[in-house]
Amino acid sequence: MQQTIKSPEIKEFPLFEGQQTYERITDQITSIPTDRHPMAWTIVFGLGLIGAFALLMALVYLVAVGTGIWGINQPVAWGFAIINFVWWIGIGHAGTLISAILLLLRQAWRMSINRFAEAMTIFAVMCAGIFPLFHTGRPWVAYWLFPIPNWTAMWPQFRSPLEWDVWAVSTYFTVSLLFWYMGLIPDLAKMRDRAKSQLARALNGVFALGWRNSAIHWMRWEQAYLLLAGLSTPLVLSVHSIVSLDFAISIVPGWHVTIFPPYFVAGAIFSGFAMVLTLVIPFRILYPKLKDYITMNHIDMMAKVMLATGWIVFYGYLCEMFFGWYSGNQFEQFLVVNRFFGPYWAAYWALIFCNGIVPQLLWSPKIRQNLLVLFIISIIVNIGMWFERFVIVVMSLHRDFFPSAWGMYTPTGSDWWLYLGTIGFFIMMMFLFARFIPMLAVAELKELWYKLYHGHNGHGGVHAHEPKPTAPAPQGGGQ
Amino acid sequence: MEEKRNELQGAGEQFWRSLDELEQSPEFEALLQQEFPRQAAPLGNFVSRRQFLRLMGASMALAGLSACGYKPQGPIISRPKTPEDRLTGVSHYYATAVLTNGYGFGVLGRVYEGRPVKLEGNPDHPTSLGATDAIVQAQILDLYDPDRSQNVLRFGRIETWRAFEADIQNALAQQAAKGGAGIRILTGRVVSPTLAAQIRKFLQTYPQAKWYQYEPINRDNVYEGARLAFGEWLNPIYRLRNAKVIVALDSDFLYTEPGAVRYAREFADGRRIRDGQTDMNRLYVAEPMFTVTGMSADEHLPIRSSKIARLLYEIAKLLGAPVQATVEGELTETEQKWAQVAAGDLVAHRGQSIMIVGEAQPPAVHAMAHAINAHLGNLGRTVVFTAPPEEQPVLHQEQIRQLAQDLANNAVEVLIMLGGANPAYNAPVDLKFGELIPKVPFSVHHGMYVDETAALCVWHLPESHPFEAWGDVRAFDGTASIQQPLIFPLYPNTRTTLELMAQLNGAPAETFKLVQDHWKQAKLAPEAQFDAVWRKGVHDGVLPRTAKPVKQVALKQTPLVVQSPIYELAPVQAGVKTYEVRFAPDPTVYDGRFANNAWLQELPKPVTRVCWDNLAYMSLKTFEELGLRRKGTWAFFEDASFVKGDAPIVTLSVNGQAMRVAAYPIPGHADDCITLHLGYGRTRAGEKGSGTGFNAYLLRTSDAPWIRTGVEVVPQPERYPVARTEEHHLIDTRQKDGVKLDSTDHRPVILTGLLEEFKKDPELKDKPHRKGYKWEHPTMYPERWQYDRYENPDNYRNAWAMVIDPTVCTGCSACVTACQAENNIPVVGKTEVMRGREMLWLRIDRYFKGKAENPRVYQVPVPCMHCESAPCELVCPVAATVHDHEGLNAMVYNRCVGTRYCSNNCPYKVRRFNFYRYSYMKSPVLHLLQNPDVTVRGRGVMEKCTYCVQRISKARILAKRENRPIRDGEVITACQQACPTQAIVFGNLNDPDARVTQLRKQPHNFSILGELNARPRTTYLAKIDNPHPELSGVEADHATDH
Repeated sequence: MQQTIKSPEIKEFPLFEGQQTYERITDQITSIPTDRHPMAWTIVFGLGLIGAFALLMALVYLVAVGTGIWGINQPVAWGFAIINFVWWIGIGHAGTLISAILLLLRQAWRMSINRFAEAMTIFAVMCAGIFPLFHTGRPWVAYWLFPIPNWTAMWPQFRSPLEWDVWAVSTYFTVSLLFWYMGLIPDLAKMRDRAKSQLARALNGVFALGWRNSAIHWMRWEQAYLLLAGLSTPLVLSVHSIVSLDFAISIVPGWHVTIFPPYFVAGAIFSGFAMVLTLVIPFRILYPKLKDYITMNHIDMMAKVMLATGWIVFYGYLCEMFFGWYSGNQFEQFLVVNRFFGPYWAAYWALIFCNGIVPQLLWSPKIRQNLLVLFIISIIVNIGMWFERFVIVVMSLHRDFFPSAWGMYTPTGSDWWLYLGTIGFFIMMMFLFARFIPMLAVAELKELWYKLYHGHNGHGGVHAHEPKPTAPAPQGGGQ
Repeated sequence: MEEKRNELQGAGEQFWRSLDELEQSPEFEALLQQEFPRQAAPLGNFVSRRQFLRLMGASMALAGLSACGYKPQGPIISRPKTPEDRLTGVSHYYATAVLTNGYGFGVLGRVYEGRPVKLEGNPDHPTSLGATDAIVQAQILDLYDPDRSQNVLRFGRIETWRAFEADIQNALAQQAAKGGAGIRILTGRVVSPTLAAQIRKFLQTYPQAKWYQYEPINRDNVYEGARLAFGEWLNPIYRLRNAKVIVALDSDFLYTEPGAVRYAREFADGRRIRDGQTDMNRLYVAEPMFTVTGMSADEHLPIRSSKIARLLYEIAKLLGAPVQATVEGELTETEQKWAQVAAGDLVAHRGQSIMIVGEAQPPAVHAMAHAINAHLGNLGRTVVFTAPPEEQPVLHQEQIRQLAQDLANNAVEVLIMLGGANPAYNAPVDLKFGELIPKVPFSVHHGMYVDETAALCVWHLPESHPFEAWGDVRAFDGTASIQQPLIFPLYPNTRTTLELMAQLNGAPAETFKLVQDHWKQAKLAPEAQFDAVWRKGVHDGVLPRTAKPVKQVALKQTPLVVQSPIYELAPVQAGVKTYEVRFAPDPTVYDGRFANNAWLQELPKPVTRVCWDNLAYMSLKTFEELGLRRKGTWAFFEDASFVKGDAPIVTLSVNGQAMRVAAYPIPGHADDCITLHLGYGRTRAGEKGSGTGFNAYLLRTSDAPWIRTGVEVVPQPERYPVARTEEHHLIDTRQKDGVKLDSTDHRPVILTGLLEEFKKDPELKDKPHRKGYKWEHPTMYPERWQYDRYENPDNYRNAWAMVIDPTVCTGCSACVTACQAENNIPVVGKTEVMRGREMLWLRIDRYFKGKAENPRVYQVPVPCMHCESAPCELVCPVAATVHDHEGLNAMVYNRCVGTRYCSNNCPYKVRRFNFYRYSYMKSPVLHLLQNPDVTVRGRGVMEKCTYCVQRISKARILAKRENRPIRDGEVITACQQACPTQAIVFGNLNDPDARVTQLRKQPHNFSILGELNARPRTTYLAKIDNPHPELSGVEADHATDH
């Protein structure tokens, strides 16, 4: 059902490397979970596990004692929790964008990274979801944000953007999870068929939902996948727009900005791609088999997306400055000056440096091909995007309208503890994903392979629309 | 054995406690290892797990029995019907009195089911006039202080009263032979007639015994000053209502001096500016550091305390007042000019002006002021004199010196310190009381706390709180009040001073009988009418005709020749510059007696906004001259700057006395001098007060109780964390690129103007941001606000609103503590305040304007604005903050999940969040303090000012029962009720005659940040100042900004 994509660019920058066959694609990718894992996996996973436990302890401590363990206070009632929430949600965006929008835009290069990016999305949204729930003073009643019928006839207050947030994020998580899982089904079946242990066969079998590789399965799968992609597409735009409305709806100078929705979405994609790069580059080293599928061409593409979205974000910063000046409003003007020279000036200039200046290096093709530099840039962008949220959340609140109520915000050890805990949890989940699930979408890659190189390598592909080009029979894999 | 004996002989002059110790036996050493040998012994090592569990089980079972301590005292009788006036949940008021600033202060105690929860001023009492100050409000907390002493102690171990009685009878019997020559009684200032009578009775029995009184904050200078001028000790009472020009020199008559609450009211009545009512008094204040009085000044002059004499003499000369004094030193040009203008104004208002001098100034300065007042014809008009209200007026400084001398001479065998006297902490440091008290063989300390002095005494006796027994006190004008008990004593072992004295006199009796008998004897009323007069007096809280009569006075000589002590800064010698230290009572913990009162500790000090500490305040110039530097507190990590803090430590030393203290610059402070507040640095104040701040008594000597010169200041490398509720913007202001970062002039925060401007244009139309203070912007939208607009009387609804008048607000913070008491607001502690999490619903914003050397100060009390279009309500995801039908912005604690978005979106930042379970009360006794009408908030919910919705409800219920609308003035919020200057008015906007409606129609009514269109229900009147046109008559707006 998809059209063959052939562009000169793809010929120059191949989406596959090495001598590929359908068998080899399947073998290479599905063998990663069953291979012996490198020592580095154990070490990093162990670190992630420690982080995940730290997260658990941080949450227990938080619920037992109260949000007072954080640095938040009276003018700055939101701190790390909201910063980290927005940051993680932003990171999640790359996955959805790659899977949904690039799918609809028929970008062939998305195929080899979409599974990976979607997994990242799901884990990032998990991390993000922790914060708004636990940052409430009484997390045990946070379910009141859902419209649960009750005898008091109390409903949520639907005018509040926090209420919209609940819907946006929960929808986003659900759809992302379904989308990811839907894409996984054929590959899980393949894993089932190739499983070496009974347990793996059983588990993969359960999750493969009885996939038997029949033509009708493929047809329904394709339809469902496309439908979910269509459903995900508005989510890319909606989630972070809604998150941005958490701020934009308010009257706080620095929050009450109409440019926020597009600016937040661009920022989210920017940080999402940075995170994909941060993950993909080491994973390629950890699992050299991936190099054939996540080629330098892919990395180059992602760097270009970062450059483009980085500029949108930077344009947002310029707009904010302009708005401050042009508004003629003393509070807005003060905000800009306070960002430049106020007590948190370092955070603001760090943001400009990380998100405005450093990404300009990506104009150079050489840098886009230099994995080490790219990795460092992607980390810097992640830090910069964190600072962006710090600037928005903390710097707007700490000096707003009423000078007598101004204050300062200093995060505590518990703030860092919880933040690093979510990073640990994220790493743990990513490594578990690499350990048990095919990291790339095998079926889609083979389809792409078929479409791209059908004519060149001598395979007699008369049936261009046949969606089942794999050589090994399903039952053959297991033997 | 032989060895041991040799060892014992060799011990020689070593001190030893027991033979075991001397022998250094292993058993003794083992015992020393165990902290509590007695308790540890029975458990020993032989308790098996099984045995342990058995013991635990038994003690669990017995624990239930131990609650059965109460034994019925006789048959009890049930009430088949509750008496008419006893309804659960309905409060009653009882008139009683407390001590504040050393004198009686009439209050009404609100009592629920036998427990007082709130104090209000007694409108019939001359000191109160219905209002209170913060210290009075907080005294209810002292009653329930879990750290109160509950037991008789002998050398720190619990004993019985009977044991004490036996012991003291012995001691007194021995003294009786010598006529009591070895007995000394030390009390604070005694303003209780009954107590004084009991002490006199004691002195009759023991004619050689001596009674000393000592208060660290005393009126010695005032009385001596009156003696210099008029030949006798007199108590000046000001009639500020009659004064058009008030010159206060180093005097905080609006806050710390006796009668302050009344004076604040009279002062405010002279400056309520309304459209068409522009009569306004003018206040000149010269002082070293801003006080509450100084902040209200129209003309403020920072000047060293020691130069006040010179300044006053200058004014006297300019006025031609009959004074001859020896004063030296030169005034600066500014001071000269100030003196000229003040003198000119005084002359122009003969008989309508007043010169007030503070307690800290030497007697000669007081005498000069009296001469000036006499010269201006103010005597009998704006200032009158009465005999001192004390039962036995003394010079406290002299008394404590004599006691020290007696102690040093070993002349004291029985030392009885009554009523919380604490000389070990607050006596002049040169008298070395800490060393003298242990020399006394029989020393008794009687007080509410086991304090520094109690630790040095043989006996400690627990004192009852005044609310637990009968008593009487005189106010600053002599008016006597009967103190009714509001509660049955919380701790059965406590006794009042009165009870104790009666017992020492061998005639123990109930306090009620003691007090009543005294007033019978004192002929309060003719025999036949006594009962009626007594009843009325107790009910009203004021005994009739007890105020001291006004005396006609005249200067004893003209011209009055006085010798003023000359304080001059010591010249710089060997490169060391010395400074002058001025001691002052702390604005909240006073002389240290309230150090354990958490409300007062957490109340931001009116001038500095610092809580939980006293600091060495100085001018920015002096601060920089000393090479000191403040440090920002921002960091991504909780680094040293937060823990260590931003105030540098300095040591102050003079003549071998030294103290460490954190230095802090404050605008408007005079150069070359340092202000130290007394009352901090206590070591045994209780859990909350111990270890806070720095002990300024360490520098205070008997010959320089107020002003100490020649103090050397040495900066130290350490820093000290300071909890303050407001950033010191003026000092933090950075100017970059010509943009003044945090100037309030760029914001419609407070509308200010001068009286002259107001006369020309009451709307103050030309003021910066004038439009920003209004929310009545033209709009095409229909009026959205439907809740409480009413057209016909059938649909009558209340629309609650508040108007605050900053012109008369002195910033005394009584409202803040009143709000805390009324609304069960928890205390969070110093660290939490440093984090910015203070819970006070009502705060007083203080802005400086103008130059840091001598700025103008603006005070704005900020409660919840109850915006009609409240930004907080829109963003709450669970509708926990909503509007009610009378325009209140209500907070539903039960519904709140604690997202804190409402607080972020509140432009006024009046919301407070329970980051922890602040309301947790370690001691159950504090539960008794809680106002049953107000929810105690748990952890994780937002809270804020409710306009005292419980009081509105109460009035509504009453009005409904009587089928009438709520009357104007029927609902009085806690802050409004406490306000000494009546700066806060609350009422119903739908009532066209209500005071609040009238005030909102004033042309200078404005809304803070009105341009945000939140339509606040709390509005303000412009702050109007009345500076002299020749002095600072130019509005600071133009002088400093733009």
